[in-house]
Amino acid sequence: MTTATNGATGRYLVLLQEDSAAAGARTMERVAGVRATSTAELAGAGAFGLLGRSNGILLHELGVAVVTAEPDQADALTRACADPGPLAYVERERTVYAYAAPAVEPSETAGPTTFTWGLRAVGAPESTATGAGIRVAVLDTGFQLDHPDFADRDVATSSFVDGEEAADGHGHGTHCIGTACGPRTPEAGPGYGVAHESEIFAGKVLSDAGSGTDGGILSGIAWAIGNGCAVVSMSLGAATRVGDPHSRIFEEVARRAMRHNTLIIAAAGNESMRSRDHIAPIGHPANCPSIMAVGALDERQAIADFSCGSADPDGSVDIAAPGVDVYSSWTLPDRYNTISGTSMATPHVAGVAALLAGRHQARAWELWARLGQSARRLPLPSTDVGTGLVQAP
Amino acid sequence: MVLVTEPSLPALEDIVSDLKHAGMTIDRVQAVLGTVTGSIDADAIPALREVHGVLDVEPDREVGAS
Repeated sequence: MTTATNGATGRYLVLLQEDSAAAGARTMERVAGVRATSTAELAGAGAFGLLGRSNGILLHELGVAVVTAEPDQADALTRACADPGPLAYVERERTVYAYAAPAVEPSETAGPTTFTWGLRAVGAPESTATGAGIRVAVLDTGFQLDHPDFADRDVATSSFVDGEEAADGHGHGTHCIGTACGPRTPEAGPGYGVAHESEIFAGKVLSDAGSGTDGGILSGIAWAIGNGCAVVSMSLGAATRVGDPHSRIFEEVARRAMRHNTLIIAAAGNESMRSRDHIAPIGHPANCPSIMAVGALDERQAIADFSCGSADPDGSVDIAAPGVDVYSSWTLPDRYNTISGTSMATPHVAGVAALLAGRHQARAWELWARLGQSARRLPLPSTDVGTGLVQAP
Repeated sequence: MVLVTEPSLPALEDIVSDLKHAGMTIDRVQAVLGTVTGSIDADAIPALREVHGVLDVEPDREVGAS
């Protein structure tokens, strides 16, 4: 992979501060005697002869100069980067090659057991982002209100199930909230929450028996938007058959939610039996293009046996996350439980979305793009894992 | 569930009233989304689609935890 010269070309890349191209060119000449001809000048003069007296080129639109420099000149440029001014960073230029074979990413989830395998797999323990100030709505079976691990947290609740309060009589909702928003350092056991300082909005749209209707979900989404939630996590759905169209209403609702700066993330579904060569299509409403559909991975970073796939051209898995043997909070007196499902993968993505929203002030489509852009690529079909394993910033 | 066109959202109250006239029993209105949920006899659904401002009508589905 490397040559005798470490793949270096003898040229350097100089990163300039944003909108400082002209000042950067002057500074490079003053501190190191390095002249770079700006692409802006070249376009104006149409004279490549200018390059004759030049040590390189300044890519005006990018704010990057590519210059030939002697070691002492490179040192001078590097020193100038440490001072206040238009120069930001200097790197050796590298020679790049066409890939002869795909790189293989080693499976790497080993580490201390102070965090769940899911948190480690998404890189949450290393992230300094907390999700503070970001509101996350989890639409599910409600929440165990007096769970000791959430004693110091802001939790807003509302029920959209007729005849049932927001209290979780099932456990599923408390588990999903734990993964998305729970603690990193609970009194006992491993840390299990991704966005551990986010504000929790627990909307009950599934009954204590674990079922609900589209109408309740829509009410929950409207409630989340009304409360300024950046993220809606929905570990729920209904199975579909190959060829079923997605709901036009949920698709339009998701687009409207995006215009209100709310990203909806939903479980792809658990109907596959891959060990018997059956890959089921993505459930409703995750099969809507503007809802982010989440597939489930196991600890070896293999696709979960049950995880639905992109069996239709219409609905596609967008991203993947830990969804097998996931440890999180549960209703009392049990307090904790370890379960599996694309339901468990979805709040990992919702939690990372909250971290990204806090770190970059990203919302809606920008948030979607950042989730996909930063996901770790996996040597698995995109029809199963989308852009790959979600990663904390 | 009934989806209302976006330009019609300011007139949502009138549309809800028209939906009632068309035979729909209103359950909930999600004003921020422009959606209305409720119940109606299946054979009256075409009448809902005729209401001015209605973009689409779909049957409510049952969903479960996944």
